[in-house]
Amino acid sequence: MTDQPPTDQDLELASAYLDGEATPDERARVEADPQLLARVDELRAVAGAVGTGFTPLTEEQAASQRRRAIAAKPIPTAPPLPARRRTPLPSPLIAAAVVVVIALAGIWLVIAAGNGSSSDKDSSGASTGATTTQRSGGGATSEATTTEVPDLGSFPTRNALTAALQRSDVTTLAATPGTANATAKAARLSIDRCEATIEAGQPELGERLAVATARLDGSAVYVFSHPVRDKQPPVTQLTVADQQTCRVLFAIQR
Amino acid sequence: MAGPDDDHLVSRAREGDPAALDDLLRRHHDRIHGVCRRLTGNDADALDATQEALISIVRGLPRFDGRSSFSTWVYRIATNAALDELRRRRRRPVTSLDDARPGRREPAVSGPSVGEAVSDRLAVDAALAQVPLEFRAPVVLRDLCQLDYAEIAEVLDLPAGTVRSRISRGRAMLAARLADPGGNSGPPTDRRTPRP
Repeated sequence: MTDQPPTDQDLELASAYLDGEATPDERARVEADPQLLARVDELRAVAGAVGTGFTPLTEEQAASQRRRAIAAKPIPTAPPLPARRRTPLPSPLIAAAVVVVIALAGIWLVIAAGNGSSSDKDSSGASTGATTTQRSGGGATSEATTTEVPDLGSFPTRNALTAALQRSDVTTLAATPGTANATAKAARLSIDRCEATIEAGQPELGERLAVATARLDGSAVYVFSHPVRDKQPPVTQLTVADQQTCRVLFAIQR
Repeated sequence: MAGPDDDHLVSRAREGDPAALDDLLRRHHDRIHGVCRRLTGNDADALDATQEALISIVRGLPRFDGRSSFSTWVYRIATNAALDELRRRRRRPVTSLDDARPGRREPAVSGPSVGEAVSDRLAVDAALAQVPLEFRAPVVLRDLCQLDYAEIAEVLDLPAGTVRSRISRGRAMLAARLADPGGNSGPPTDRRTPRP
């Protein structure tokens, strides 16, 4: 019990003493003064009250909170690129090569059309035009344990892939200038697993528009295209995820 | 909460290991909740603030640069989450800043009265709610989290000398409110203190 109101200096001294933050001189002064020691005892009771006396979280509450926090993990978003730029015109040799490839593709299409009449009735699920996968509807595993998806090619760096994605058609991901546009087979279950992982962390994403494969610095990746809900003007997110772990490597929004 | 263990878990969590991330959050969860609980003054707001803090930690982990210890960083996030929650709700009265100006003398503290009051958890909540946030935060970080003054200074971005005086004055205000819950604290106000 103290009789006189303590000064601010006395209170600060007693408080610092209580916390072990007083200098040796200050400690000596407090220990020599019964009134200051009494202040220390009073402040000790106050300090004890702050540290105790509330109900801790239940383990169930805590686990639920951690799950939500981990599910909210964001994806690292690549810095926005400047406005779309036209790629410079290719050199004459490359242009000539492109013309030859297109011509060969045209010839092949003509031949394929000539042979196609006999097989039209059973080609519905695996046509060359099936460049996007649809969300699995539940009982469709027998239809496609493998699914054809466009392959965007190999990219040595994230920036190179980002640049290609900036030029891609977000609704198919198939026509990505400057990249190989061959198809590749990928397991639908693997795609769905990775997509579920992405969607769990980003509820704002809408129904998938397209998926493609690519290689980034030697690693196989998926590229998912999703609309972002409630965005005006509309925004599409292209998410790049490791095929093995489904870990999101980065994403861009367009 | 050994530092090296935190560092190891942080490293693994940043590499995408969800178990490490869960361990990291689990390790600090109680303290985060404690800070939020004591700063917001009620269970519901504390729950929301704690959730926000956890999400902020997860989202901010890629940007955690290790210049401060992980626990210091976590306390800063928890403190800010609690202050944000209070700002959002705008329903926790705090004492006018005029009450906290230098030179204002707190009423004498009576030992037995304080002792009786601290046994009443509601009284402690009510008394803490009357302590302005700029004083409440350092008191909570000291008395609940046992941070030293240098760590509190880092969490709140304040000079260590300011931390020392604010803890002292905050405790004095708290003791005064516990000893005399209805008196001499001035009208509650919704005025917010600057983020520490």
